[in-house]
Amino acid sequence: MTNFDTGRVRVRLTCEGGRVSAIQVSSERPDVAMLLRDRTAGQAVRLVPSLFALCGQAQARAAALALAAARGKECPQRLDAAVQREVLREHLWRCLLDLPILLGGAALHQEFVSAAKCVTDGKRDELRALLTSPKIAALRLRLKQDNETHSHSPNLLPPLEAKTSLIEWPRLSAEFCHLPSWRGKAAETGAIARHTHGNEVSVSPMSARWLARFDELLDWAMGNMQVRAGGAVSAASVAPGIGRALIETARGLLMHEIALDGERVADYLIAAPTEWNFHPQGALADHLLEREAVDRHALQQRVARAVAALDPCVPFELEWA
Amino acid sequence: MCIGIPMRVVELDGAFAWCEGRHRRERLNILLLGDVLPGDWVYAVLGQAHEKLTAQRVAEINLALDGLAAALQGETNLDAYFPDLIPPRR
Repeated sequence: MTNFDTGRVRVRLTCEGGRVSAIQVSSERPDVAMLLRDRTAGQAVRLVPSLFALCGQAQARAAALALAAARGKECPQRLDAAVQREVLREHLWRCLLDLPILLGGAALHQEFVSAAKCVTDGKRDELRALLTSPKIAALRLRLKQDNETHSHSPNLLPPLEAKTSLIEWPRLSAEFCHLPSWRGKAAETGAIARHTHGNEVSVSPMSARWLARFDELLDWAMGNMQVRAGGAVSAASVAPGIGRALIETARGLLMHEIALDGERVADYLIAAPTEWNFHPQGALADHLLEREAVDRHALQQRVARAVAALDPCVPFELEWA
Repeated sequence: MCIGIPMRVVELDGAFAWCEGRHRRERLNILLLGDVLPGDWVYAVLGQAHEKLTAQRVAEINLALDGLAAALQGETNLDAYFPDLIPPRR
């Protein structure tokens, strides 16, 4: 048994004249799909939940739905309760454990445990009461009052389901999965894209990302969930023997595409949210370019906050050129 | 795409636990799991223990990770990593 490198997001900054003059963002993660090729379809679908921990429900559902679609059974968009619970738990982790620390406070351990139990037990009213309690309301207020200089409004990926995705991308490719783009441009996916779609972001994009997670939690607590929310799943047949599934995970759009040759997996492609959100020309680069770089510690903190708001599914490493 | 590592709890530390697995030692947040005891297996990712694992699941996951490591190193015959996981019950 060997140690295993699960990958990283690498951020490399070049600073000149007291400003960030260049930024390189790269997502370096193992191509898991390569293990799935040449397996039997059954093996591939069983293997997926053994490899993905953080969004295991979403990945397992994506594999099963993509396989069913390859065999001709499509799935119109619907909310999947297990994937939705996974999304909500991830949001709670980010909003109650990570965010308070980023804002200079302490993680809300007790609130997190209570809130996660509400999600597991389906206790919406209790979660609503918790999320509107003074401590958590104060967090949201601070986000709304954030007066950090606005970077450009993010280019958000519009809501998609499997069938309509075929119009944009008739087939996925390894190149696309590594550097996904929407109509030739980097685009952001996640709660902010699902929640904001088409509306102006009225606070800084960094705060808007956190507020969108809170909004998805509150929507569930108030029974307002829409079909395009986190937990949405759909699948379509790309061609005979080829199926694609789209899942809205906590971090955004996840796509699996499976191509069968009889019962053997001829090709398997996975386009994951971290590649959208950490695109070299994406929101992070946009946010950091031209920022003041005289105080390196302050810049380091700014990078950490920006990365946390975009929420990669692997650790990040900062390098100075 | 968030690959997890099975780790065994060796020492509790409040909301955290020191865990070991695949030649690494990490302090994991265990808040998501409730009661965790030394000796339990957990699925670790991004500093958090995500779910408890049975010994059988640990074996399956480790085999899958070994297979992925082999594939990434260019090994082409991966059949040894796919014993079809669970043999049929008689």
